Amino acid sequence: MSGRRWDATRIEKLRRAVDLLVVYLVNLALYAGPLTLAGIGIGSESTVPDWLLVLTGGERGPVLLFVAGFVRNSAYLFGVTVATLLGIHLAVLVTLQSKGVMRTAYSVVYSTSIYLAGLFTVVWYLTTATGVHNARDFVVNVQVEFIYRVIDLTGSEMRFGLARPDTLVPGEFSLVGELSLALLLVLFVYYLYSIYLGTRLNHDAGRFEGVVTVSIVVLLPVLYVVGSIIAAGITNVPFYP
Amino acid sequence: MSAKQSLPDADVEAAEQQDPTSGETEFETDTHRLPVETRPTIRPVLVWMAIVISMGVGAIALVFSKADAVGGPELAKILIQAVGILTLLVVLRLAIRAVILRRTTYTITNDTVRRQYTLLLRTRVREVPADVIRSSELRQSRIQRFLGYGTLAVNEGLGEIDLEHVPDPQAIRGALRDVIDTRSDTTL
Repeated sequence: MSGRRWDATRIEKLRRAVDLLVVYLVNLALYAGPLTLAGIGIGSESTVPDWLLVLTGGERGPVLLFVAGFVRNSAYLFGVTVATLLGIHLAVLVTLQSKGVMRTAYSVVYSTSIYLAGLFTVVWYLTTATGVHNARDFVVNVQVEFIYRVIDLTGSEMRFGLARPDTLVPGEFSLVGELSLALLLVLFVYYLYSIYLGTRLNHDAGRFEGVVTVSIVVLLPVLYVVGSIIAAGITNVPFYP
Repeated sequence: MSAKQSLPDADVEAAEQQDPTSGETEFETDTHRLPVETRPTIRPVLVWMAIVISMGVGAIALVFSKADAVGGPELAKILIQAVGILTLLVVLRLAIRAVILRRTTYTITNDTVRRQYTLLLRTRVREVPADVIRSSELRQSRIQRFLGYGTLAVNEGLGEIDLEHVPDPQAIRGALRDVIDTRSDTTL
């Protein structure tokens, strides 16, 4: 009897995991579809791998480009979501608040992922749109300066492929650039808040544990860069994140 | 001694007339006339809105006056816009919460404890039969006590219902006790 109940619990968990995956895949399609329709992620035919021709029955042209863009956008979003899920759950484990990875997955699928999709959309827009080159350069400069600051902290004499920017703000932002950067900041704040709220609600964590979880997630990029520096030092391969 | 006689004095004070921001409660002296119907107070939500707006305006003023400290006028503009958007979004969420609370009613009868609200032609009702109520918990922090409201958690873990932002929660808890005691007397 107890064995059967254990199996039923496993089946129930599996059913919930499948439901969650279906919800996530539907959300992913809903995020990636409009992005692709807006032209984000669409490159030239030469960048499309041949195996994608199977999906379009060998047809080249706009359909293939759309499918390739859709797959590319979906892959980016999926990768970022998985990284977020792992990062949040690692933070929850470290604070000894974990009540299972499914609870973290619920939080990520139902709330955090929408803010990730928003961040991705704004960054892609800045990367590809015209008239926002100062805002685009500013976003790149912030990331490069962040990496150099981490290199300085480690005291490493690591070589880095991109030059350190002389100034973060390359010039005056256009109105669209300003609004895009403001929106990026707002989405980032909401992304962190969704992590905090998800930790508190789904893992029954207190305020302090919620703040610690968010802090750990914020520090993960630092750990990534430090790890890359160490790996580059061991393998003697130039560091180019 | 009957359950009603054992109630604290605060629970048997005269019926009070409250302002619209604090909800409405009706009950008689000496005993709790059932059904008791009350509405949650929106006072704490209004306080939070005032705090958020003050903090938002303060942050904007600070960034405006110390533009060089945040990296120059261009970055200051970005920060001001972001703070403005965040402040508006939070105030909007609080406003929606206030509307929902104003449209919520809590009803305690001899048979049920009910929480109901109607918004945009959609009604949500949560009801717990009185004969399955096993516990109630009053949660009231120092600030909540100062503002005169609290949360009553009924039947936590057993098919619970939470009555949030309850004005004069001691009185409502008294009415709830009456229902539980009446049920116990009937059973005995």
